[in-house]
Amino acid sequence: MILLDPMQLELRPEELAREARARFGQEVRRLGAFTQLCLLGAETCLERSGTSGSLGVLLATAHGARSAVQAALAEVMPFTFIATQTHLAGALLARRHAVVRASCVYLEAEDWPGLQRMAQAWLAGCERVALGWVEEAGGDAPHVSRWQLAVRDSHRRA
Amino acid sequence: MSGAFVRATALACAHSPGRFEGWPYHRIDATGADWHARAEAIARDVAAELQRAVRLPQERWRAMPCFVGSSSFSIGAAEAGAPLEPPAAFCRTFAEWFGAGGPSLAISTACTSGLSALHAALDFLAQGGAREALVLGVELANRLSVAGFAGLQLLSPTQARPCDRERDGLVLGEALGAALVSAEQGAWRVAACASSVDAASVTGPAPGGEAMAAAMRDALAQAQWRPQQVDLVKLQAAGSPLADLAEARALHAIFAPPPRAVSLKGAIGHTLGASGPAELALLCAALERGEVPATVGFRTADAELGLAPSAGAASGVRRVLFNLSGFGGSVMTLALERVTA
Repeated sequence: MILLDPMQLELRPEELAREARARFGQEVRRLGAFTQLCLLGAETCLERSGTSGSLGVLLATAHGARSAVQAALAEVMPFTFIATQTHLAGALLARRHAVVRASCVYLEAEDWPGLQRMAQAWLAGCERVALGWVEEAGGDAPHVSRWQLAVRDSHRRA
Repeated sequence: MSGAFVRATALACAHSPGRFEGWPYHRIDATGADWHARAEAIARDVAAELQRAVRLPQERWRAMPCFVGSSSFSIGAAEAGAPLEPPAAFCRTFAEWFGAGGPSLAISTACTSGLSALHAALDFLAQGGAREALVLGVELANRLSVAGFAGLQLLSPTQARPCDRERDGLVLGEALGAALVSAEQGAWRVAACASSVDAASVTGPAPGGEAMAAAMRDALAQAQWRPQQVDLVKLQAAGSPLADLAEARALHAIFAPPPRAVSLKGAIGHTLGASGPAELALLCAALERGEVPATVGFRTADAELGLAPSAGAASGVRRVLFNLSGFGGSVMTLALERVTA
């Protein structure tokens, strides 16, 4: 397994919606901050990698779609409910890339060695795995979307 | 994948629907002082059943990794006023209730969460991380899931009728399904675990069922089975007019004609993130008793689907495909092979 250069996005809450709209248009309007943040980070990572081929999307988080869950606890609307689901980025990335597997795992703290071990296993079924750590803004901390691409040893940059 | 087995399963679910939040709903008969106490009572019952079935020494339970899939985790507790708990902490608590003292991992892929947990456990075993692992699918009553599905107009006001001409939506339910997967031989070999992602919509499949067909094809290829070697397909079908049709189209794209089929969601409800381990437990238990269970709610075949689930004797059922799909485009197929009589 080869790990390509990692990248990180940090966005203020007011920047996220603007950036997501500019990049993905109406497609992400009702999917919530968490999925928007996943998509922006993963797409940036994939673009920078210059790679192609089948893809797994393995994203991790401690708190998940916190803002959607809080909103849903106050009032359940259909798309608020959808936005509480944290793995949605996989389906949206599948419109642009050959995504064959996507999961969200919840960890108590960032564990890149653990994620890389999982990616190693996923590479048996796909040529690339986009690994992400995604956390919505909380307190003074901004939204964070950190991504790294793992590719098979045999896979070469396009 | 050929070296992993399902050694034992256990399940809490409800066969008869009552009502919850104004909708038909399969609610487990359990009580507790609060949401967590009720969850613990359910978990300890299922843990005792699993431990009786597999009889491992305590030191193996103390080292056991635990993979938990859920679409809602402890949101029901938050609805009742408890602080919102990080899913990883909720899953660690569940692992402790089962006596599993190894690492735990919480996974969410909506309705396929429990099967994604199984997939992660199989990967872990294949990497030599452990010789056995506990897989849980957990979905306990909460207003968010019911109101969300209701808001999307996906629920039936009366009954789930998988594959039936009169089907008009899903009925949800609670379940806690548990499976012990192991490198040691059990009654069922996991011949393949395949996934695909449906990009059509985050709330439903592409009408042609292409992603489901891709998952089944991949499972067949991994298992090195020909389509005609499949004896039974456990359907995803939950009674949705469009999703049942998409799955039928996927089956017709691969099989000519489709093999015997069964849906379990009429019997226990659509248990969302728990449905993988829950339906696995139900199916394995029925087949080991020598029965293909009835597809509850199915009465009249829909000519457009071209599927007629059938119950009865399970003699000759050795190779099974097990389909599951969910929100966010997640689609999975497990290939299971009976290895003991």
